[in-house]
Amino acid sequence: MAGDQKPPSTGGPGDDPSGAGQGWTALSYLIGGMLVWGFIGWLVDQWLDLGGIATGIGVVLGMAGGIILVVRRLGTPT
Amino acid sequence: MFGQANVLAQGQAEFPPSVEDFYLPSILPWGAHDNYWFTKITLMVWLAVGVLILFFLLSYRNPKLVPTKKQWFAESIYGFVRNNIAVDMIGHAGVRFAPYFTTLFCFILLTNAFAIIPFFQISPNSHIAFPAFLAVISYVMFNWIGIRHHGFVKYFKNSLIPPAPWYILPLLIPIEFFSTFLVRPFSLAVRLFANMFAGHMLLLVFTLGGFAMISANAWLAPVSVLSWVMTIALTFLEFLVICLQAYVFTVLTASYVQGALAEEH
Amino acid sequence: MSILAEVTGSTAAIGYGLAAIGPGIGVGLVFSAYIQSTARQPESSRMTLPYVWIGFAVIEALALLGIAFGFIWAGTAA
Repeated sequence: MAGDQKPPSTGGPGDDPSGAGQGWTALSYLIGGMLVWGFIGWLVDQWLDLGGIATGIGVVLGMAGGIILVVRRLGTPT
Repeated sequence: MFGQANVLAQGQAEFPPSVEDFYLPSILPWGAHDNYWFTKITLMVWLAVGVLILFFLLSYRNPKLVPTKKQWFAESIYGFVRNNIAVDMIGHAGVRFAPYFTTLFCFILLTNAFAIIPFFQISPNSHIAFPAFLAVISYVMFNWIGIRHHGFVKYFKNSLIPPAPWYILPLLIPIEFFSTFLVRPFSLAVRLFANMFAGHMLLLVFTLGGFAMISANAWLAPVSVLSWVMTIALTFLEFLVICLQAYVFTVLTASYVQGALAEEH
Repeated sequence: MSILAEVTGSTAAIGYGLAAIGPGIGVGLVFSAYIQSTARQPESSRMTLPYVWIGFAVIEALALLGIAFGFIWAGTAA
């Protein structure tokens, strides 16, 4: 089954998730950041009637947050 | 709006298959249309539960040092889950969770396999309710394990507060919350559901498409053979997807348990 | 001036198509560089992987921002 195509792990038990796992983590942080802060921005938009500006700011902020998370979680050389 | 078998029996294949085809008629009040308490799906789930309990009880009833064929089979399933999923993902602490993972793996594998076993031919997991409930069980379990292992405050601190300066934490905590506590159960459930739903839909399209073409006109009739050959080929693909999704669900649960037990990120 | 040709529907879709070219090439370059460096020096793979994720995150952010802005201002820029 799919079990035998695991990349060889070199570290101990506290190993990072490898390969595809890291990719999914990175992508889900980016999309998650965008969605969460985009949604908060959208709420502000509905509240103050700004016509999409707050949503845009929220998306950019969330994207920045997502990038920071990816860099912190995956991009720090161990 | 009947199941696949009924449509074929009546000789009138409604060609574009729809979501209605997943709602099979009731069994207990036979053939009732809007009664969903005991349908083929319900029967299959109970059957899967019964088969698994019986199989493992019978094969472990009097274990021998030199295993019989049945015992060997049960042991190799358990051994596969224990060594290749639990211990690989979690480490030695993972042996504790191996029984749960084995149950999960076998149940999903069997209920998925109903998608291609003749006369069943639909998987209970193609209804979102079953994957969703399985995901909820795994979700509650890994949170419970994490809280018991670390204590309530430390567990949430571990999983919500990333290593970053304090002034960007307000930006990051909602994202962490979203991706750890909201996306995980959702993606577990939807991944399994969508695969089984799409698989059943695909087989329906090619089977019913064959019937639609054979009754359309003489020129299209030979093409329907091609469509049915595709159905057979896709059934093998389905087999692959069935095993893969059962494995993936179990592995992801294991990796969430591992994340809940991990000391520091 | 007479109208010679007209585009109906959402022009945001065309805009996103154009916007996705850059990140597509960029992500491709990141992973091609990683594969090449790993093929030349397999033992360096764990050392370079964090930088792959940083590069991937920053580039993929552009593509995702493209999707988001396509939706946010799909109706307003008539």
